[in-house]
Amino acid sequence: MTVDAFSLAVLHGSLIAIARDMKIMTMRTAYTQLWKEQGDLSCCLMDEDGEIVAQDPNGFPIHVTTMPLQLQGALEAVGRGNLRPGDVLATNDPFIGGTHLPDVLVARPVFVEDELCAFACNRGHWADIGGMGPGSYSPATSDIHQEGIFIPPVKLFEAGRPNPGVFEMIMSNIRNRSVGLGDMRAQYASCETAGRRLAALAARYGLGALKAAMGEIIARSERLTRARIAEFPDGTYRARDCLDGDGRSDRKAWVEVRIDIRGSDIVADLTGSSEQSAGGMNCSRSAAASAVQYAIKSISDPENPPNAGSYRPVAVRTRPGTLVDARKPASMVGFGEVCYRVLDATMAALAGAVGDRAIASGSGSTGTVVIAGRRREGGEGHFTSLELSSGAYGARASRDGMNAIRYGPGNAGHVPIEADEMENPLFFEAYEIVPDTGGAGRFRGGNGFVRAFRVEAGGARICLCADRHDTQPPGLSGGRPGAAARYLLDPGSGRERVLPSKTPYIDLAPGTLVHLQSAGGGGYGDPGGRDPAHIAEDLKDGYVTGEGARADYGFTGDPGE
Amino acid sequence: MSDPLARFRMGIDLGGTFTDVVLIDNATGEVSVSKVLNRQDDRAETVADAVSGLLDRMNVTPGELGWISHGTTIATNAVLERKGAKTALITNRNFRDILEIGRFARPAELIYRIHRDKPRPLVPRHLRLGVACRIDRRGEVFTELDDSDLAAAIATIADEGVESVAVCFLFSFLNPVHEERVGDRLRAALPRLDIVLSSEVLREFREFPRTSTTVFAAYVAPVLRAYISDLLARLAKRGIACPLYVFQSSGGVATPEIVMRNPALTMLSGPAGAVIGAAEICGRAGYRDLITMDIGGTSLDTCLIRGSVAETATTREIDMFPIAIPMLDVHTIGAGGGSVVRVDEVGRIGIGPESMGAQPGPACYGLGGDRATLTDINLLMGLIDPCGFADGDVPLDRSRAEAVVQREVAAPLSVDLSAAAVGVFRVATSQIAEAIGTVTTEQGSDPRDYALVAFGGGGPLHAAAVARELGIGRIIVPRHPGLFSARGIATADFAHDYMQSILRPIADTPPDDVIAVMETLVRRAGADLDAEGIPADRRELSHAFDLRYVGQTTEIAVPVRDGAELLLEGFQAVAARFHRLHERLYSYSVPEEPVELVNLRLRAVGRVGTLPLPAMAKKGAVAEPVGERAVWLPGGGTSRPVPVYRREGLAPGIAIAGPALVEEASSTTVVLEGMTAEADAFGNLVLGLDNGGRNP
Repeated sequence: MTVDAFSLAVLHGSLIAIARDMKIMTMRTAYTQLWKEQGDLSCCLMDEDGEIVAQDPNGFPIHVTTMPLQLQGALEAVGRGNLRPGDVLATNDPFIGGTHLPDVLVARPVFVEDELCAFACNRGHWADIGGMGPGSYSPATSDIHQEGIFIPPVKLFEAGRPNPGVFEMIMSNIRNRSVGLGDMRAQYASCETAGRRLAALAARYGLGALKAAMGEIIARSERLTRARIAEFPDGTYRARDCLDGDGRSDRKAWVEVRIDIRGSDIVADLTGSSEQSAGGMNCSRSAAASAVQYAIKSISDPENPPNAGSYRPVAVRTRPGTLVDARKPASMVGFGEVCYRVLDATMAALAGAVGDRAIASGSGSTGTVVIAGRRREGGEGHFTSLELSSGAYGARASRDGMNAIRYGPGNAGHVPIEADEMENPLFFEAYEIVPDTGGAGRFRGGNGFVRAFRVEAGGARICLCADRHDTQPPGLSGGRPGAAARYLLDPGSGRERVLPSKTPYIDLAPGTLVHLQSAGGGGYGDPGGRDPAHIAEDLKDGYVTGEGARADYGFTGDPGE
Repeated sequence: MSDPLARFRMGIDLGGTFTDVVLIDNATGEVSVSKVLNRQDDRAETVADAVSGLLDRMNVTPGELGWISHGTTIATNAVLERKGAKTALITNRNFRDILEIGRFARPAELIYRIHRDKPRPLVPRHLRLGVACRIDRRGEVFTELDDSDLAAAIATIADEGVESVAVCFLFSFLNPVHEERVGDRLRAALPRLDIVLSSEVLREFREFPRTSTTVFAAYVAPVLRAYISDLLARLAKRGIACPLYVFQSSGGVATPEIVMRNPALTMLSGPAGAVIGAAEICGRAGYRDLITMDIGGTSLDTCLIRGSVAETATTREIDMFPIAIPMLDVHTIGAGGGSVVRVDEVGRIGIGPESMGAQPGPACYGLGGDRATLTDINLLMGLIDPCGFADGDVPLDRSRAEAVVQREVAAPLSVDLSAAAVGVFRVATSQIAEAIGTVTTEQGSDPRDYALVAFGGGGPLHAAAVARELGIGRIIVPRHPGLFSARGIATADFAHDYMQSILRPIADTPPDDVIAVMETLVRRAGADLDAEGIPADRRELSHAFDLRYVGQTTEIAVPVRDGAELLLEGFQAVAARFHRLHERLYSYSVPEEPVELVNLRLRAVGRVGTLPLPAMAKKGAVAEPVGERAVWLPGGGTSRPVPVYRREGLAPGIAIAGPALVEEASSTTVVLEGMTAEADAFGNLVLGLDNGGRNP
């Protein structure tokens, strides 16, 4: 069956709208700050083979493009033939293609007249999945079982009925049952609504037309992406970049990328990367591929909605047992850090092929910090707050990097300070851009920022799972690197303590000041080529200090007017 | 309030290109209209001229004019064009980048577009000034205001030639003492500046939207103030001294003094006038549940109206920055007459949001536009009369439309011109229907239970196809669809909104505390309505609780009675209503979970008095077409002759059967096969189609 161009446009628009509304609905009804304020979840629609047809435009690349392999793995485990209308699947298994245990995939097969036609999928980062500490984020986990509850592919609902044993098993293994239940409800309710809307589309346009359109949507994106890649010069391009350590030792772990461009195909070979780590700095093949795909999508075709077709021309090779294709029972808690490095190395390698389209490295980490402990006097139970303390853009060939903003394949935001202080025993002392942290260059890297707060309650603990604390985000084309991140307790006092970027749960005395400072982005081009007017303007706005302007640019003029 | 015995009122809609003015006879409801092209260098002069010109034309003396209600996009355009005041922002020390960092996450549009930037904040960093002080989460002073910091900030503001200052401190919604002190000091030191405090603009938690809204207000304040005083002076020069009221995004008017406390209140008022007009006119004709569909040159605006009351919203974005003000819940998508239709290199069709606007406009305008637009498609289909567009003022060139649609759409898709035009129309129908479907289903409603009100130049062209797509059974095309907004503004009541954050579980909140806060809000409303001279019998106060499950983040507004009745009813009954609404909106509820009282809201309305709608005379017994045109009907492929009627020629009570076209000065209504169209006694054109008997 074929589909005409007009029906295709109609169905494509409708499918993206369904995926978009799934996330909106989940955020509105969620309980955890991580979703309702920070938006740390993503949705998509997949075809019957488990290939992405429509992504929510607000979805995170790292969440969405890892879903296909995980869903396909789940289908294999459950058995496609065992799927029934009304079923809802769930899993957080990283080894079949997921990310880390807190990211839970909920997927609803959509049947039209007993024929499977699609899947509505919602992957959310749960505030807690059990394991070594609240927030389930210790970088010191040495195997997956310390990370939290491992949910193999299961039926959460069977033929429309909840599976109480599974619910109870999951909820009994996480720390905040009512939040977990509320959030999971929000996840599957969105899949349910999406499933209904998909079925209505099939009823209206015919199942054959819907399936044909889904195939055509993917095929045309592939054609477009191939046309773009074919414009890149054939060749082999290499780059490597490293992680500070693995949470158990300070030994650098390397991500090596070799990009081969031949015609409209790209092969990204990561097989030269370091062996999998003993700590949590590992990721699945699917997560590493997702970072490669993000880099290529953003330089080849940033304008069009992504789907499986955007990724088909890209083959990613990994070697099992490396940190980009870790085997059981490796801990995957820091998958996000590894993915950032895969992105940075891929972008650096591609710069050789695409020139100005590539950009310097951003701050290069999720900067994940979990603070947990008892609530304030009078409050019941425990709190968990997840801070994302890293964000700055690398500079581009024609403009500075943006300051203090998420970069790369993740996109969770911050909790408003007022919401955080009312819900958690924290008191903020600073939230501000830090001058001179962006790498110097003809165009300056984005500056990082500081978030500093006191922890007011007793029994609190902190853990960090971040990076770019020792190594700096590299510049491009002669641009200087951005400043490294700094994590401190009680800075400037006699009790000052520098925290490594991987800090397992440690106790915090009440009143401790936690100072989280992001790395800055790398610069682009020789700093000597920077327009003095831009330096003067930066000086006036305090994006660089007088000292920084002198040291980086030899600038001694007046601030701009 | 203005002289209630005055014979006339006036409504003005100052848009980007045109200003519409309507003069309404309060006794008969008779409407006279004027549409003038703006003088971009002097909008106040344009408006004053239009007002006095219309009075002269209608032989009305200034003394007979009771009041003027004025909707203006001056403030919004100042932001979009970055032509507002030089603005400073005073914040807590070490927190001055809240405006720049925002939510920290990228807007969706930037996720893959790594070469695109967020728009720059309206206040540059060197004018974001930190002052040491801190209120804590309980509203108590934790750190006193540092006077030397403040003195330094004031010195910078003076030295830099700042014109307007926004002040926003953490937790000021609980305790505005520091903001007020800064305001007092600023006013004393720099009396000519506009000073806007966040606590006067938005008493709600979340520092970024509050800061952003306060900055918007400060940024536009001098511009709006200058415009209003300029306009008043020029009206006075022409002998027009009646009160001038400003139309707000909430759909109500207020005196300039009240609006200037928060000039951001006008910033999303553009599409609201027409929604108020639709609710009023259709309500009179007995249609109370409506979906508006306003299609202009660049966009579609749609809003849900239930029981004659437009749905409201509290937050939107302008240029990627949040603005939190009371507003009508108007959704906008980039699908208008000038929206560009394109086919990409892999044969995918896209419509909008890129628009050719009015200059150079669609290819058929012959003004140099060389892209295919929806208007070109509509012309090719025969839906628009090339000689009758904009009342014949803009002759349309069919051959240009043919050439461009052939080149840009038909050729790349290897289809003939008619298939291209009919196909694109179908895609547009689907996009519009998707947007309209979303505003209804988001409210837990079914579009089939609503009538579609179509206006703007393009609404009546697309309404029939959209209604069929959504299963809507009735379409209403009011009279003067092009001047609807100005008329709506003229009929708008006074409206003021007040709120206070509470943020406590409802079960732990002593009712007396809540009632005390409600009384404070009532007193503030009373003072404003007193200042506006609204008599007691024209006031209406309505209270609402913003509620959510403890732990959730999005609230649902649940209407409540006033204090005494609330006590009688009890919070339990309010919570029960919340559970039901949650069920409707999100398909589940959890009655055993605790409910949090987030905000108290009060809306105070001052009724301006309704207008009679002049009844239409029955002119003839049979409606005769004035001609016939070859049309490619939506959904069809071949051209067929379709009768063309003049709207003025349709007497009430005479139904015509589709397919047909009904033409009037500013628009054409398409009536599809199987539909009927008939004028009602109020001058509306009402289309009926079979939707399985669900029609309201």
